[in-house]
Amino acid sequence: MSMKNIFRSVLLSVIGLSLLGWVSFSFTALNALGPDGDSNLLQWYFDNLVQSEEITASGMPWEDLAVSLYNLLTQMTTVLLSISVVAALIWSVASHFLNIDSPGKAKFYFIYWLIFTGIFMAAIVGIVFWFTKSAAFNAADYLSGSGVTTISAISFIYYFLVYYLGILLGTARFARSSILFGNKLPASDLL
Amino acid sequence: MKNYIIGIGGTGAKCLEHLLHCCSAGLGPDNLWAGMVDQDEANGNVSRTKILLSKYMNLRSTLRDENIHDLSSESNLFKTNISANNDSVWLPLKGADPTLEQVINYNVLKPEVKGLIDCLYDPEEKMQNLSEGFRARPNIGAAAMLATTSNEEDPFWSQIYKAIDAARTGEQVRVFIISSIFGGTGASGFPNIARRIKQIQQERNVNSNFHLGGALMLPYFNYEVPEENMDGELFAKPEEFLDQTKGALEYYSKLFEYNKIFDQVYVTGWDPLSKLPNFKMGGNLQNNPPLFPELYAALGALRFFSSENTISENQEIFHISKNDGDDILWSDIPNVSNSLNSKDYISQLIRFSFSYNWMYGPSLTGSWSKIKKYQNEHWFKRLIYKNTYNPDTKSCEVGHERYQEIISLMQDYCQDVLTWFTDMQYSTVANTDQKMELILSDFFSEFSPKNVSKRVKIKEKLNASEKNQFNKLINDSKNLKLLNVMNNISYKKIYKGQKGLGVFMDILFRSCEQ
Repeated sequence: MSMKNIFRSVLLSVIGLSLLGWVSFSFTALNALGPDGDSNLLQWYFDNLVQSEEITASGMPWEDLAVSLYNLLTQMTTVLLSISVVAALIWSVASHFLNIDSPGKAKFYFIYWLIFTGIFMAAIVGIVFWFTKSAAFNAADYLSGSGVTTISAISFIYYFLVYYLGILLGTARFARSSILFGNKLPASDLL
Repeated sequence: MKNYIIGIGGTGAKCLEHLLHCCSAGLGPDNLWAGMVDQDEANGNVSRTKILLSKYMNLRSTLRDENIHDLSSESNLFKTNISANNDSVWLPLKGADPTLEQVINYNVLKPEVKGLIDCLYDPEEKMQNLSEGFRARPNIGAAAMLATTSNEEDPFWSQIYKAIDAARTGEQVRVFIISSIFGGTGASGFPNIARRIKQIQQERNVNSNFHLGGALMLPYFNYEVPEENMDGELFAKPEEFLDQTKGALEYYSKLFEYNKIFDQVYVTGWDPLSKLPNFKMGGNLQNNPPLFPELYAALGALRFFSSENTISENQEIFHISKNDGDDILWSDIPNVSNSLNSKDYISQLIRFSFSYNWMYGPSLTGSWSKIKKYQNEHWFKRLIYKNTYNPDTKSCEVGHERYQEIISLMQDYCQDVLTWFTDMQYSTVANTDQKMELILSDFFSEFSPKNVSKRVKIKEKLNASEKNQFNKLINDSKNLKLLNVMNNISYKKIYKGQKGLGVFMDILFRSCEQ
């Protein structure tokens, strides 16, 4: 197997990952800086993610809750982005080793990609579930039902797209028929 | 530089067969004119090479057409531009079934000359019909050759005249002759044609730029002659080969001592002799298998043509040997030059033939409705779709007859390559203690030594486990899997100027490189 082609795949996968991944990276960095009392982001969190009544009733200081929520989101997005990057890179490298040795065989490996992607999505769900139900973060206890749903839905869709762009560009050329819309990739000779 | 090769007799034709395959692998010079000499026009060996030569030229001209399909000048596949006369075989004695008596006009000779002829030839030899060659009688062949006209109007000799004229104008010209030292046509043709060429060279005052090389095949095979119905027949007797060879070598020794005819001579023999199971006196049934020593002669010719081969003033005689053991190995195959490794190129051609014949050729065969299932695959889009797309009809035309013809021709040629090498491997060592396992061929071929017309049967289809043996196809070699070939065809760079099916053919060929 040509190492040159594998490195090429890794590079392309990183480019694909960064197309949307930078958003997650920026978001994580923003959360890592901690809450800023005047920020719109903090306001959006309190409006959409947490149960205001319960916080008021518990007597928990809003500032402490904000710090905890920022910590939760920082760590969760870091893990989610990391797992997306790792999954995309694993697939991109592994696609070179799929036994696609004759014309027409690539599409049979779609099932492999489906299983791999299924495991990845399950991991995303598991990670989101773990963080939003974790006792390690006070803020997790005060997330509203709609807040958890919002976090889950955004994470599910967004990190799938990050991962998908990574594997779309990173999959070995001969294995592209084994991923969803892989053979529709424009300028496929350059990638 | 202009290059010419002449294969004389059945052995010469068989050596040409090896040479053609080597040229398709990229071991040959840039250009080559090929001709054969045989009185036995219908000879199976000659016919086989004649057909192969025609296939080579046809495929090459189709795949190196700058307008439609172009492999590009950088490609090694069918690198050598081989040309030939309309009839690539020169019959020294044209006409319907002549006898020696007719050729030399025996009946009108003076009595004293008749007496001389009677001393030199038996009555059977004088009356032997020569349409099936000289039947291992070089004395007949020599007389017949000398009786022929070798003037400039003859299509075969006109090429020699052109070659010598080209040398006179300053172009480097190399002519190479291959034949056996035993037998009839080859043994008589080799010295006589060489001397005639030298004579023309001297007549035209060409003292430089023209080089003559030759390969002489010493005995390397024998066969059992059936005892029945052979009385009174003239035919090549294997038990006489060694005596004939001894006599011929003494003759050449004297000839080369006093006369520098050849610049380089390559001498090849084989011990133990390969045993051929079928004896045929001549004609289309004399279809002997390709044998390993012939590959040496072909590679000798290619070495002679190589630009790295510097020809000295002195006549050089080369000989080659294989290792002492009974195993014939890849390392026994000499390189054409420092930059042309014979094993690498030949094994690449074999892998290409395998991949094309069983993996890619079938995917490209048939109408578009059958082929289109591959249209979304990267290799197909990149190498086939784009290059067979017609913007006028807005469709991929790979299923059209004009493309299908090339696809089918290539498949046919690939089968020839596999048959050639497999047959050589089986037949060289059959019924001897030798072993030859340069390639693993049992899983894709069946060998029937008694079946002259189809000794090797290549399987039409291979199952998955047989296809997986591709990585063991070439012995003594790094593993190259079909997966690697698929990987390579997706990434190998398309050369500038490549067009049509030339793109796919060259990329697949390069993808089979070790």
